Amino acid sequence: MNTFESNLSVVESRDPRLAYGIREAGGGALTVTSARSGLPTAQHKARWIHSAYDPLRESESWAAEQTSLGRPREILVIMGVGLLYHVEALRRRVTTDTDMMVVVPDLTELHDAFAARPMEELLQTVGFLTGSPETVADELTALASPLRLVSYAPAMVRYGSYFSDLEQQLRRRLASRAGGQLNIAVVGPIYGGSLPIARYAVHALEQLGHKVRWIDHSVHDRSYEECAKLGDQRNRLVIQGRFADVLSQFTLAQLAEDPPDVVLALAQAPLTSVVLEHLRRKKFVCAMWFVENYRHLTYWQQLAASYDYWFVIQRESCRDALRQAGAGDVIYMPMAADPLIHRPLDLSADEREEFGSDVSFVGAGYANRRALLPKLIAPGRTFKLWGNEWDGADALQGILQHGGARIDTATCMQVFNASRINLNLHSWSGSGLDPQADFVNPRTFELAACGAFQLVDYRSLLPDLFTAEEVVSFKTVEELPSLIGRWLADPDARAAAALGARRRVLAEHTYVHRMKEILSHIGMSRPDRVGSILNGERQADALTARCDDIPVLGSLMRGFPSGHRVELKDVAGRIRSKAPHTPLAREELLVLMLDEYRSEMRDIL
Amino acid sequence: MKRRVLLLNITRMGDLVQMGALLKRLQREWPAVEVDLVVDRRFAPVAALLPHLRHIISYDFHALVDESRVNARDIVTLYRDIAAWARPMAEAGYDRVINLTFNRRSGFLASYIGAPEIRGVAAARDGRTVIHNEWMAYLTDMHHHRRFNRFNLVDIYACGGSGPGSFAPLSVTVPKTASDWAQDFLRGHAAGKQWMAVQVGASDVMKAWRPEHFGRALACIGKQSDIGIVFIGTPQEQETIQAAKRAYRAAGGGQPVVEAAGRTDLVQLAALLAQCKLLLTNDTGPMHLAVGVGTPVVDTSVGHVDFHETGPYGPGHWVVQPDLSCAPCGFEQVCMHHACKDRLVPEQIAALSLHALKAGPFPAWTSGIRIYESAVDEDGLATYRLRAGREEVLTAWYGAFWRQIWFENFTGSDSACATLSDPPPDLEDALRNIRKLLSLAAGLVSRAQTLVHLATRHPLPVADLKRAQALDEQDRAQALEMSLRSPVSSPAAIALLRDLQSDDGDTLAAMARSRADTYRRWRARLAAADAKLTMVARVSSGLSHHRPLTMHPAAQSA
Repeated sequence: MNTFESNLSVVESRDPRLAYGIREAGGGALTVTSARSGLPTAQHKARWIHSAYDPLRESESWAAEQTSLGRPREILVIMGVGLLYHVEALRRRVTTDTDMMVVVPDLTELHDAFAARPMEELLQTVGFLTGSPETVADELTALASPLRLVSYAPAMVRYGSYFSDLEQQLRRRLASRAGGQLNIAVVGPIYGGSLPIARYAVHALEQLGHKVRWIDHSVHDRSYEECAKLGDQRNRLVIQGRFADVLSQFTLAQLAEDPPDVVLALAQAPLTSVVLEHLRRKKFVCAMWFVENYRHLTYWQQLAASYDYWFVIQRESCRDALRQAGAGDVIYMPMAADPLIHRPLDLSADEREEFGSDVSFVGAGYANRRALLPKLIAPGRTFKLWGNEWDGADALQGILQHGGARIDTATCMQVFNASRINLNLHSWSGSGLDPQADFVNPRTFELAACGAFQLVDYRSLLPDLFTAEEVVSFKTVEELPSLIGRWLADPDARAAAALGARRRVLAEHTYVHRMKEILSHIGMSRPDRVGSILNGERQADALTARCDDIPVLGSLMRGFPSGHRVELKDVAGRIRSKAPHTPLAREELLVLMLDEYRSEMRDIL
Repeated sequence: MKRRVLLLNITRMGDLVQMGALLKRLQREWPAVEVDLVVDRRFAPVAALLPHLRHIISYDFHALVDESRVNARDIVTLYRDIAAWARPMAEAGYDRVINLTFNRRSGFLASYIGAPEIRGVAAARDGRTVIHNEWMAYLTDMHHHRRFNRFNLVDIYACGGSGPGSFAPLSVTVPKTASDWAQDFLRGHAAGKQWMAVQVGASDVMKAWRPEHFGRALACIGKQSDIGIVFIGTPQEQETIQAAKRAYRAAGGGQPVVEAAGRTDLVQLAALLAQCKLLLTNDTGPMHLAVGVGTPVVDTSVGHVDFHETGPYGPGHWVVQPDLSCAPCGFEQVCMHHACKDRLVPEQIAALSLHALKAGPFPAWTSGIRIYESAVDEDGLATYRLRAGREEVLTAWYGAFWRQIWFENFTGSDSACATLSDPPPDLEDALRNIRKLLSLAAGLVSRAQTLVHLATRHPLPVADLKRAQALDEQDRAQALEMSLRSPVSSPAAIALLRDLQSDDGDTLAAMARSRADTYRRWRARLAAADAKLTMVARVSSGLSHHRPLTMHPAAQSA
């Protein structure tokens, strides 16, 4: 029996259909050659999947880098096939009772692996999953145990979109069945555009049933502004820097009061790398939703390595830049809307009169807007300009509303709802339109959620989020006058587009969706912590079921309502609440000991 | 029958070395006793250097803190892990568990493991914290009257864990491989050179003398003695060490400098200290290691450090303490000025270090500090003799007074130390106070007996009991308030408070009996204080002829 047949026979005895599939697939996906060490190695289109020198040694060091593997009850899901050296190395590192599954996007590759080298022993201890990402995700989520995904990047490159789809499918499934309540701390900025986003994120997390604590630094805005009044630039920067340091330490102390499962920081949150590193050492899970243009605000470079997760509104270039700066996990997470705030309004005639117009623009007076907007003033249609920082824009004074005062969110919603066409221009400090037009701003989602029609400058990521029928975009300033004319003349088409855009937001682009996706991603990468909580594995009934051999703990656990999340401090609290002088079991003393360690605070500040 | 003892000494490296006397005394108490130790994983290598230990049972308690705080593992997993680790100890059948880690968490562990005899913090049947053994109880009490404490932790461990005995120095055995490594390490920097080690950092910034001062003192030493400098410490202390180094160079320090911080493991650190002629240090774990390997120490006792409690043990070491009314401050103190650190003048520390190196005379002149020389007293306990500076008379007097009372109270035998000759500055007030308290104590004992009587009656006379309890509460509050006001009674009041919290019993009658015993103990302590005070009064007025306590010869009393 040759190597291929010998390997296949192991699979055949366990899964004849898979064996048949492998045989039928034939080989040829990989070019198998001999490495310097004499062992077979593989490449695909001149790209090495295993080492050309010593694939065994290489896979051993790869496996050694995989930390936190094989926790009790977890299933390791390995992405990337190649010649399975890495799977073998991993198998040697985890306990024999740890289940391992290899995801196989293409059976041809597995055929090559089976033909390349003997691996009967390994094949007796690992399973294979094949099929579309949806099928594999279904099979994986049907398994009762938590999953831990392990990526072997060299063998994944060829199937990049397959694995990316699979991860997304798994995330969605986890999000849809997430039932457990997380304790989440949202750290907001002192001021700025990410402040309302922090508020929306908090609302969304609360709607999802999580326990949320908003560490709201906007209460310190007044003091920060006072610092900004210092005339000497150096002194100002020093004081502002120290002020941010104090707020960072303050945040740390606040987090320590009731340590959360996840710290979600919004862009500009005053958390320094020193504090973030300390949080990491203390095993806090920290994520940043960087709702900024990474090209404009570059402080991420100092913080890249300090967050466990970066959620960003831009794609490849941003991800690559962050990774180069040391970030581990970078995930695209576009902006969204909050349908409770951004919604259609039933406006009175007076309100329509005050806030309505044929064309409107809400925003600050950046240079490109000052140059562009006067060109849109035309006889026969009304144009209203809302917002501040328009001093010196003489050509626009006639359309500037409320004397150029800053307008609040409620007024914004009235303007959005009352305007026939809302102009949405992404901010850009140069002239014309943003030349690197990738991310989609919050305004796009907010207008859409209001059921308001908008014309937005084109963004490369827009088609992923809305169809051209839902949100109309323009690529040059010159297109705008005719677009305005056309859409003003067709109210039914405007209404249809706006309705479609609103439906899309409600279906896919609310902050609730984003928070679900963020937590699901974290849950997937931390199946034993965030993942297990989301899956309800820390709820009283699930824990009770695991206490058969610890009757004292089981009895305590049964005192909690079913579906109630139970942690160490809850059980310890139950023990402490017993009547004075009630004798405790020895097991209860051990729980109290654990709880004493849990409540240690001295090492935090 | 071979005895088995389990020691819980989890948290600090220094504390491990400081149980050296206890380890020896246990061997004397129970020859061939098998002694096991529970310790945090990071300090297990140091524990391996100590004599007379059979098994070192380590656990990563730091990871436990980090993981349990953020709920990294669920309660069932967490419990299973810790139970799997602790259960073998519970099944080992120890004759005695000695808990040297003074916190509630270790108390729970001690009681989970269980033994016929637990000494130190433990959990009562209902989970309350109790302390078994008077020496161990004293260790928690003394933090409320620190200025009167004159017992070193080493002696408290030894007396509490075993019993009184003759002095035994701390002992740390350095393996030959580590010793060879240390010699090579230093030879590699300058062959034939003599070295002194310096520990600039500390686990708590409150107890660290300023690095700049260290630098200046070292420069001063280097100018008068041909000795190289070895900076020891952790990698996290690098910044502090660099600050000291900069100050050293700026002050003209020209001797070779070796940076060993972060380049040694704990065993190598012990070996390196053994190669050095002196350690100039804050009160830290390495200080006790140095004592253990027989290297003299100059200890800068600043912040909340009380050298009486944790200073270098046994003869041959020096302690410098700032002469400041707030020094030492409390453990929970958050100080914004750290003025105590500037009281220690670098040049004076340098002069003392040179003297310790036998390269200079004892400092002829000091200001703002007190210098103590470590020694052993007539009871075989550690003591610190004032060699320069001034002690506050009341504090010094009551420190010696309570030292004798507690020793005699805990051991049941007379102290061999000289009796006090001069009366305290508040003699009349003190006598009046203690006699009034003795009368209150008698009343409390009597009412407690009434409570015992009422609690054993059937049916229970509830109204009478409540009335008696209310009166007990009222009189106790008055007695405590009065007792806490005066140094002649406040240490006993602290002990009473702790005893009251430990009162226990299955039934109301048992609890009443426990309360009566608590009051009797308090009355006995007050009576001992009264007797000693009365005797001092008689000696000072010429009515009695006891051997007087010599206040340390070089000391001046303010």
